[in-house]
Amino acid sequence: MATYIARRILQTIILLIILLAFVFFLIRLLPGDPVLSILDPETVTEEQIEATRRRLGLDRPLYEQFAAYLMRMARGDLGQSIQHRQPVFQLIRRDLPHTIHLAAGSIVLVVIFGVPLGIIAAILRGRTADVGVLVFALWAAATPSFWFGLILLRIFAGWLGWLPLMGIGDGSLVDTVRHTFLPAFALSVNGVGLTCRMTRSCMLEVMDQDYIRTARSKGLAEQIVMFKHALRNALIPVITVVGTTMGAMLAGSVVIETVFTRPGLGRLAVNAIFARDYAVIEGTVAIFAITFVSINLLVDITYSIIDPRIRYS
Amino acid sequence: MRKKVVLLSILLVLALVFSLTACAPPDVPDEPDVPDVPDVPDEPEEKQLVIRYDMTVELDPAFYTLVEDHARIHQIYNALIQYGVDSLALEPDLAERWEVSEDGKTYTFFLRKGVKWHRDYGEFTAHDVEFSLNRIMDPAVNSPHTPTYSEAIESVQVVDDYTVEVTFVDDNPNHIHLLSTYHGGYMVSKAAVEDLGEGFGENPVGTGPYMFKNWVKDDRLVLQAFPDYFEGKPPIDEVVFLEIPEITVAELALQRGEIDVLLKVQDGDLFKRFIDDPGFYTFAKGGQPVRGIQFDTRTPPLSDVRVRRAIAHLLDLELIVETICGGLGTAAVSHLSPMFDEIPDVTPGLPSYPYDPEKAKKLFEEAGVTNLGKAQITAGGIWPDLFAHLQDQLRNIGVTLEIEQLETATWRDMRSQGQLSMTLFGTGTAPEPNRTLNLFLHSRSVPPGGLNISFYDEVDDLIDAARAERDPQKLSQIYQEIQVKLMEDLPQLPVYNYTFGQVVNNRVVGWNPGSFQANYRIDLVDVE
Repeated sequence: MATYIARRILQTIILLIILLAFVFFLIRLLPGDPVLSILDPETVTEEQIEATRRRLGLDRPLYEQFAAYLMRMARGDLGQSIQHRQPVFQLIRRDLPHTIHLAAGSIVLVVIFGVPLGIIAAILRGRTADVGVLVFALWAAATPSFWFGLILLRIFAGWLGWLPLMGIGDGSLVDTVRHTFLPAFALSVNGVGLTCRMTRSCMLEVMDQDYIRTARSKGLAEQIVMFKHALRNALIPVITVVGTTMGAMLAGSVVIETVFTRPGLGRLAVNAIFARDYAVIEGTVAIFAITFVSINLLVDITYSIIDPRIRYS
Repeated sequence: MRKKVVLLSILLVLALVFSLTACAPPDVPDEPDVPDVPDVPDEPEEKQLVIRYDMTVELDPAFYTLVEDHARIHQIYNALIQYGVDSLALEPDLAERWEVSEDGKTYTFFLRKGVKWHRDYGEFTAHDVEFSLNRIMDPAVNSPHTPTYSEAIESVQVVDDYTVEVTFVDDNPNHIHLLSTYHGGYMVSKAAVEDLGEGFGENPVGTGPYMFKNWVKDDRLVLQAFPDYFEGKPPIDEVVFLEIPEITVAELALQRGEIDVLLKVQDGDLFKRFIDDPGFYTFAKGGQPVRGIQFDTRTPPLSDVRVRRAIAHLLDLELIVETICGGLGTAAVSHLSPMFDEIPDVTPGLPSYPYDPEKAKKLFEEAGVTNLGKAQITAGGIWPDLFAHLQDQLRNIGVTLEIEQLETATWRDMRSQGQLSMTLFGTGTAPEPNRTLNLFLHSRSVPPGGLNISFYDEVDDLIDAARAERDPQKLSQIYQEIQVKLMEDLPQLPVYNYTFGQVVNNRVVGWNPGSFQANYRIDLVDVE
């Protein structure tokens, strides 16, 4: 297992270098001038724009910029934001916890709603409840999270006034949960649909297995058959799905943080893309990539722990 | 059992991470690496005004260029002179009065006494004026305003602590606008800039009614009342400029009372919802800036003036203002709004293009054009609807137009390279017409870099003549000639004089919509 983990970490580092190089060149080859996001061309001259470009090192050849970028990254320096004139590391350190909250809260909701609904649908297969859950799951998987978020805002923050409209709260646990619930709920909707269907499918597959028939034949209570034997085996692939859903949560945070006016890495990345703030884009992509790969690694490890048949070398 | 323990541990670690980060302070603004500054005395948070506005980019007047930053800069700093609350007339600000030399080049400003800088940086004096203006003109500072100020100002001379002379290179009366509440005209504290160095922009110090308190990038800027402001402590204790990217959320926040003022409303439907709402009052003031369609006149078919005039005949401007613009604006009659003092309400002989599809069709047939190629626009604002409407009108008379929606950064890039054949244009607010004309319609402003993407050069002499003219009547005459020529040739088709809507909660008393750019006088505002 240790060898496996070490190999995966090495693969991650190589993947990250390739990814960052790709992002570096891609964003610089896109049309759009970062200087024009901080200087109004109606107010300044072309000479001033060029001077600012020179000051930021944007006039240098791409290969020179890339070399400087690699040296900077090797020192652990993520660079300076053009827009905010702050170290990128500071901005990420400020915003990352909020995105983690949001993603973690979404995963909790995915598990709380997706798994039980899938189990219910499997147990009541063929009945009205099963059909209802399947329809709901289809809707949840197909619904755009940002649209759902706006609906939630309109209902729970607007009409009912039960929950806050925006922001992250005052830092206390209760207030943070209150401010995180709606955005997490919106972000979780696709994951709930997917997890629900996956749980149902896995449960149905397991429930047809011989060992389940054997357990029933032995006279075990149906509850024990379902939750001790069937569910434990059905959850193995579900855990994988939930883990990869986490990656989708990070991607979805980009829109949800904007809709719910929450600070976070997603919103930071979006603003940086619009402004062509290269260092911030590179820094956020790096963090997203590291997080995504780490989660996948964690899922694989968890998978091997749960299923003794899986052994990594 | 071992596996259960490992699993449980993983879950606990995740829960711990979540909880720890949940308990972190919501705003962790990293302190910039600047020397210690005197503590801002804590004021009890009593009256607060929350304004939804665009992202803050810059708080140092030497570097700001975006109009959105102007609204915030205007609260922190003062200039020697300012624009009136309801007009573009120049009024005293830090200067009580001023005199002009006989040759019209030297202005002597007599400064207010006892004006204090924020955070115990002493008293405002003529030395700060000299420092502020020289700083703008210093190439080493890298201010985007350096060329403008260096080309206009010959010298700044301190006469005594409360008297300063500014000598311009010539007697152009418009030079005085450089000393007004606009861009480099705002005064900064010499002591504070020398003390804070590059960190000044993150901890600005001015003489304005509000002083800097806190700035969370991409989130909010918080200003607090300056108790020693020379016109008296403002009624509102704290002003928060809040960034809410999603307009639906901003509307809900306004309805819930979480924000008090919604600025820069471009959605006519949203604006109309609040017009009749007794809990709010609205402004749609302004109307100087122009928006419309710009043509690259270098290549066919848009090089043919008949084609441009035909397009003009296809747009019912009143209807467009009412529907597409949601009532936020007025139909444009020319490139220069009558809001400029130099422009009369009615310019004799000004061509107009009433809505007449039949005439448009005839002009297209005369020009032998059935395909206009591509129009490139951005996705926001009225542009998709306006161009879709034009496309529809063209289709009805058998002419095709393809519309390409571009991301804003891409569009800006293409604009600066002169790669847009038919696109949108919009001017900002300017203190006088020559600036706008120079930027958009003089041949020295063609791309790359310039904004004359029509590559039009037929009014160069008139624009230069206007710049040199000192007689107001003759100046007005020149501008009228320019108006007529531009409406004849239509390198740009003005569609409407736009204004951003503003929606204000009724508990806010005395909100003023600003006469120039975003110069809101929040120090004149109170909340109930």
